[in-house]
Amino acid sequence: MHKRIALLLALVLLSVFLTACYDSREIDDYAYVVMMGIEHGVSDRIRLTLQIPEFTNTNMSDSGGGGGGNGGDDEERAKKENITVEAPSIFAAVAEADTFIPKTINFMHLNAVVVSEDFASSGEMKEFVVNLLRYHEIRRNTSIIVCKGSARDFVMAARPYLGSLVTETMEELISKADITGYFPKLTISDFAIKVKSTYTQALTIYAALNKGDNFIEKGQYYTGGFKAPSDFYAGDMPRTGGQEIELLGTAVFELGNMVGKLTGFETQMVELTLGNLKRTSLTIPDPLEPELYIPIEIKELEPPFTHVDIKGEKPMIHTTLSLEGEIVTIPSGINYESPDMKGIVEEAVAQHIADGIKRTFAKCQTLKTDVFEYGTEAVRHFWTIQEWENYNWRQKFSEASLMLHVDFTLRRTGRFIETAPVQEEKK
Amino acid sequence: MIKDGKFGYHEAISIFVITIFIKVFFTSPTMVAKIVGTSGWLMTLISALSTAFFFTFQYLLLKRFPNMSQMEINDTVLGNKLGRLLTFFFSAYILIVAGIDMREFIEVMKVFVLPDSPPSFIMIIFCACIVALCATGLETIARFAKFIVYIVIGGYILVILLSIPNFRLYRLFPLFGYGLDKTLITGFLRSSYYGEIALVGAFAKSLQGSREIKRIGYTSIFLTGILTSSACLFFNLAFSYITAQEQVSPMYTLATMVNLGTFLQRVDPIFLFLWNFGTFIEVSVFFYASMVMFCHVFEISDRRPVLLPMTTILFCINLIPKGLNEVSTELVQSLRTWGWVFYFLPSVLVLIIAVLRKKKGELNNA
Repeated sequence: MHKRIALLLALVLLSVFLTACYDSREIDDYAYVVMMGIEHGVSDRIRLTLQIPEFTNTNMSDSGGGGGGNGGDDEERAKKENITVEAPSIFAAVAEADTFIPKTINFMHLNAVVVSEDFASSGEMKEFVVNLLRYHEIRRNTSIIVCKGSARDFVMAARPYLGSLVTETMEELISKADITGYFPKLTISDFAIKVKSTYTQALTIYAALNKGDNFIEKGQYYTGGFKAPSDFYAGDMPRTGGQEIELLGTAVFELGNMVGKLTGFETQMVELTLGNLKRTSLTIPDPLEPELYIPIEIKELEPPFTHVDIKGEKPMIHTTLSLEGEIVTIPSGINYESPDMKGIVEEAVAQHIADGIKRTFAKCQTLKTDVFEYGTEAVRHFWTIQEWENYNWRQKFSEASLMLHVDFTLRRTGRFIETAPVQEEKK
Repeated sequence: MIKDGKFGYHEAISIFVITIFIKVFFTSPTMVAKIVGTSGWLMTLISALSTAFFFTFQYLLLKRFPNMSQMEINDTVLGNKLGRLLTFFFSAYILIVAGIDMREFIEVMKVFVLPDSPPSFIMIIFCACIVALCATGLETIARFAKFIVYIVIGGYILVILLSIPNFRLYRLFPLFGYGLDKTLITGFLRSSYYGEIALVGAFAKSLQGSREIKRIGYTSIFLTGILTSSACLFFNLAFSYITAQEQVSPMYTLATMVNLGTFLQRVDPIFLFLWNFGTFIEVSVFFYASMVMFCHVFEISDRRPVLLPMTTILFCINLIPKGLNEVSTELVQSLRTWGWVFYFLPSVLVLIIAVLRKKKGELNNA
């Protein structure tokens, strides 16, 4: 009898504990921020824009989560999903947002932090962005972007493209850095480490909204000669259509202030030198007919080798790049496939890359920013941190000489083994 | 009746490896980076060597008095009053260390995982687990440690392997950090990191003689030296010496940084398990050792009645620090720097006195 009563009591007591926590929270109790925009405020110190998409059934074509949907609803949806608050600090702005957002704001799924160029140049970015990492909800692998113009406009323009989620769109767009090399793939963690580093300087992705203003629909045909592809900044691409967000180039920082930017081509050169770009495409002027181009797919043959000689008063940087590649097309029809002609293309590619790197190196020297991370090699010559810090690499980098050797081997020529000439009318 | 029981060297090594190595998951590597910069991995090897040196004295003492625990040796060499006073102080010290380590764990848990939970709530659950573990006796703790040690080390290796993309070799340079002299001196002082090996004296009667104690001691120091040095090395590879000085829990941060494609990321919950299990064992071992010594001093044969009052004291010690900064920069730092005085010096002094007074254990007298 006693056992039965005890069992009954145990079951009754157990039921009390099976009702779950009184303060438990379900997934839909939270408002998940996927993008954050930071810029100078007008009524207060900063203007914070948060994109909080409404995650709905992805199979519903008219209400794809994350801001997608029919054109008519877009404006209204963007207003609802993007909130902007001005406050003295980021978390004061979040606290203020809590007064009109019924759900708890959560940053666990924050995908990118977007900072306006003005804000980044003012030197305040290091204070706000680096400190974001203190907060336990913000993950270190959140991407960091500096945008031309307003961060609010940029965040509001971030919408799902050929998919249902804005997070997916941004992740896929940023992953393109591995293929093109036109912008770096950097996170808040990278920024926080590099902004305090004595070996190198901080960089971020440079981005802008492109509303098609640079696209000239009608006019005289282009006759201006060779231009390296993407040798401009985000927002300057002559294009129309697609989404407005454009990631192109690198924002360069010195001691936490944005001091300059690199074009897409310059960024590609930096990424090649750093060994981050394992495979990419490059377009060079045809060595024998310079008005025509040769697109080439290049691959890293061996990791870049760098040696920094600090014996002299000025450091001497020796870098060797070993690349290989494949011709994609030969518009001139010149038979570069033949063993006699192959060397001409190889030399032209090597020269094109060397010129690009030297140009970028010189630009970075004037900015006093070692974006090539040569400091990571120079530091190996020092035994103690005091010796290294006294050497003042940032200053030394601006005086350094670069000895560059680019080795390019043409491996394949696409599906053609030889270019037969196009028949011309006999005179 | 709580019985110590007997266990082999595998179990004993597991206890000491977990108890010593688990500290690397908290704020210690950050403090090391602050003091020596990039040479933390070298510094901890020096600490391990220093510990091996100090442990030799304790081993010689235990060898001189076979089948006796450290507490009994203290009584024999120093006399009942002085010996028990020394044991009592060591017991109190061990309990304080348990409290500080537990509070460090709770603070780090609060920062990363349970920001909304009150510390006292985490403490109560933690204390309940310790009571349950200690009530089953030392042998159970040892066997549990043997089971957990593989999971802790396996999980640690997994986190390190997943973090390889975040490693940069140049971050190890300059190799001697803030100077070789500083690395050597700090390495010697921070031998307290491996101080838990001194608890072998309290558990000596559960082990299989002095030869096995020697094996357990040196093997534990060697293994934890290698593991801790590797952890400091990987930590240095992931963060530059400046950023390394900022992290609350470098190893946990490393786990949060794992990002291999869109699929393999957010693996920190794996790490959380290792962290919890390891700390439960660490604090339980300290607590149990303290209880054993306390009961010896006051000749309490049944330890059960002591369990709850001592848990209350542990809970109260936990409440003393005001917050994480006080725990990490003041209390833990003091323990790591000066703990060797409490861990190792008593054994050295007792050995010297035993030699001077020609005191020996029964088997050696025979």
